[in-house]
Formats: sequence, structure tokens, C-alpha cells
Amino acid sequence: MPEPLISARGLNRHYGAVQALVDVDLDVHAGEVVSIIGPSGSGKSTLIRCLNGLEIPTSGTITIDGQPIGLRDHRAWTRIRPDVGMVFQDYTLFPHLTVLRNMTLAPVRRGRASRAEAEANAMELLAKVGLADKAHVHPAELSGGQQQRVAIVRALAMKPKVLLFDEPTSALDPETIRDVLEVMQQLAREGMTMVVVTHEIGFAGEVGSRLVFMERGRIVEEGPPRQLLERPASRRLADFLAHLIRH
Amino acid sequence: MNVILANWPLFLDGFWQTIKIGIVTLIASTVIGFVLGTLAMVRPWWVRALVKVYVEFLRGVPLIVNIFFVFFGAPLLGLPLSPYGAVVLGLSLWGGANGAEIVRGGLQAVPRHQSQSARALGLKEWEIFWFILLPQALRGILPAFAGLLTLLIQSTTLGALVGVSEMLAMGRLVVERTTVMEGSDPAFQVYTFVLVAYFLLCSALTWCTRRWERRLGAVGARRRLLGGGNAPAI
Repeated sequence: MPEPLISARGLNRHYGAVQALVDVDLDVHAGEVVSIIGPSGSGKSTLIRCLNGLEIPTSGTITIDGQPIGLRDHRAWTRIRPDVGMVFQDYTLFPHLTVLRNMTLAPVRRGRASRAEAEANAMELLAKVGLADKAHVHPAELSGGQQQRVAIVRALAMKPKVLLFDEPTSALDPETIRDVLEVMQQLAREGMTMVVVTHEIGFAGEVGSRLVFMERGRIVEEGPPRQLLERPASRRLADFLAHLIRH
Repeated sequence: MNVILANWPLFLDGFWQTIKIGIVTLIASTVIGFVLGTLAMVRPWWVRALVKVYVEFLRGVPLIVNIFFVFFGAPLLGLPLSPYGAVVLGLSLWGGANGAEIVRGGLQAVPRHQSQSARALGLKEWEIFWFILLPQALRGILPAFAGLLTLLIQSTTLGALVGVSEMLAMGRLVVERTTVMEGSDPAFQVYTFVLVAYFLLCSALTWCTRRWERRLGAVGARRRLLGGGNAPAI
């Protein structure tokens, strides 16, 4: 197997006495779609926020694209972040900038494209998610689902090697969740490497190439999604899934 | 009205002094306010602590006491400050402290996830500040800052107390001189004129900042109208 794109070893994260992550190992290979599920407070968000340095683990090592990153090296994280895109739960578009400017600011500042190139690229991405006509409006004129789709293509505009999703559909109306999931599905088909923290078991089962189940800061079980969902090996995962179905 | 016209050169001189103090003070207070307000948000705790000590100290001192402190304190330190210099410095230090508090509040009101998502896009800390935080914070900062600047213009009258020949001091001079030389007391006319002059000066300032606010707020207002339930809290 080739070297993983992201490799995390022995990650620990403490908040005072609370242990958010306990000895977590995670590898993500190019082209994989890794879904992370688990009850709230299980450390799944903390884990992916460690993968782009938004959260600094108390101990452990992180290697991205073959390069070990000093955990507290802020400059190193700033350098690597354009390659590790992230989409948040609450979309977090910049409200004072138009959709187009939201998408071109970072690529132009990081020298990944000229302004004209960045704009052309942004228009292409917007067309792909059916929002080409929204390029010049401000985010608040969009619905939640539209904002989240913009947030996804804004991350894509950096041409990242991997995209992290932190519960991308949790804040959306049921009708708009599908639009966003469709975009993510399409990305997966195109071979985008993704790590997705989600409550959408359906998405994790169909689109994911690997499923990771976390509880109390540990990875309890991981493997092919179908296998985990149909024949959970651990009692905890079985309970979690039963709980989900009942609700 | 005669007394005003007869002493026109004096009033003009006082007005010019007031404008001079006002402009320098407004610029200095704005610069100090923005620099310190920004430093109040940086990572090293000791920088934040220093800013806090400065801000809390000056905010807890009456403006006039601060001006006296600078005026009488500077010579003791071997700084030969003119009354004009003392007033400008006293006002600016005080205005800067209050401005810093306004700027800090405005920056803090921008939701945390804004800087977080900017960071996730690979923007550097100064870029996040300049392109993301400051433009959003300005909408909250500007109205409060406009109030502070108006207050500072009004406070230039305190210069009269340490011997700066600004507009109010000139008014008093005209009143005294006319009373002595002509035996009539023109106090009411003169101070009415001074009152109107200050009012016009402050109104002009308010008008300018309102216009700027409106330009900044145009986008925001449109968003509030059309944004509906999905508008993020700003």
C-alpha cells in the first residue's frame, strides 16, 4: 500500500481532566472516503480538527503527505492548510464578501491562482453545484443548503489534497440535506479524498470506503462500512446503531 | 452681533486652534485606539495585560485630571510641553484608551468561527485580521467611535483651563475685554455664538461618519432584509 496522505499516531487530547482523544491512530489514503460516526462528545470533531491544526493534540504525531508536522508549529500548519480543506457544520461563509470573493480570496492570497484564474475556476465550481447565478450575491441571501454548497466549493477552490467535513449537514433543513449530500457523493465519485464526521449513516454506508466508530475519545471499531453496519463486532456500535434506528 | 463681528479675528484664531487640537487628537486617538484594540486580541498574554492596564487606568481618570497630570507632570520629567502639546497629548491618551475598548469590543463581536474558517483556508493571521475580522468589526465600531470623536471635539474646550487660546478661551477673552472697555456685558451673545460654532463643528463630524457608516452598512441592511431566517448573526 502506498504511503497514507494523512497519518495520525497516538493522538491524545485533554481538556483539563477530560480526555477528548485517547491514543487515536488514523490513516487516510488518497481516494478514500472515511466516515467517522459516534455519539456526541465521542471526540470525532476533535479528531478531524486535529488533522488541520485547528486543535492541537496534547501528544501524538501527525504526518501529512509524507511530512511530519510539528504540532505547535503554527507556520507549518498555515503552510499545510491549503492542502487540507475543511467544511464546517455552520457553513461559516464570510458575510461581508460576495460568494465569488469568498471563493477567490484564499487561492489568490496563497498564490495558487491569479485573480482571473481564481474567478474562472470559482465560476466553474459554482456551476457544478448549480449556483452559478449566485456568484455576486452575499451569503445571507442564500438558503442554508446553498451556503453549505458554497462552503464546499470554496474549500475545493484551493485544490486541496484532502477535504475534511465536520458534520456538514447537521445544521441544515431535511430538504436541503440531500443537495449537500449529492455534492459530496459526486466528489467521492471523482476520487476526492475525504474525511467526514457525520450522523448520516446512509451516506456513510453508501459513499464511504471506510467507517470509523468512536466513543469516549477512542476508536472502537473501523472497517468496511457495510460490514460494520450489518455485523457490528462490538456491543457499543450495535447499541449506537440500534439507538439511531429507533430515532 | 456687533461684538462678534468686531472681534472676528480673535474668534477665527480660536476656531483655528480648536481645529488644530481637534484634528491631531482625532487622528492620534484613532491610531492609538486601533493599534491597542488590536493588540488586546493577540496571543501573548503579557501584551494583552499591558494594554489592559493602560486602558483601565485612563478610563478610570476624569479627562480634565489627565490633562492637568500631563500639563504639570511633563515639566517634571524634563519635557517642555506647551499648553497646546499638553492638551493634545492628554486628550489623545484618553481618547486612545476609550477607542481601544471600542475596537476590542467590535473585534470580539465577530463570531469565533469566522477566524476559524479563514484559518482553515490557509489565510495567515494578519490576513484574517485585515480581510475577515476588521471589515466585519467596523460595522459595530464605527457608530461608537463617531460618538467618541464628537466627545473629543467637545473636550477640546478643556484646553481653556491650561491656557490654550482655543475657541472657548477666545470667547471669554472677548467677553472680559468688552465688559471692561465698553461697560456692557456681551456674555450671552458671545457664548451663544460659541455654542452654535461647536454644534456646527460636531454636526459636520457626525454627518461625515454617518455617511461612512451608511456606505459600510448598505450591504448589511440589504442582507437583513433578504436574509430571512438563515442570516448568520453578525
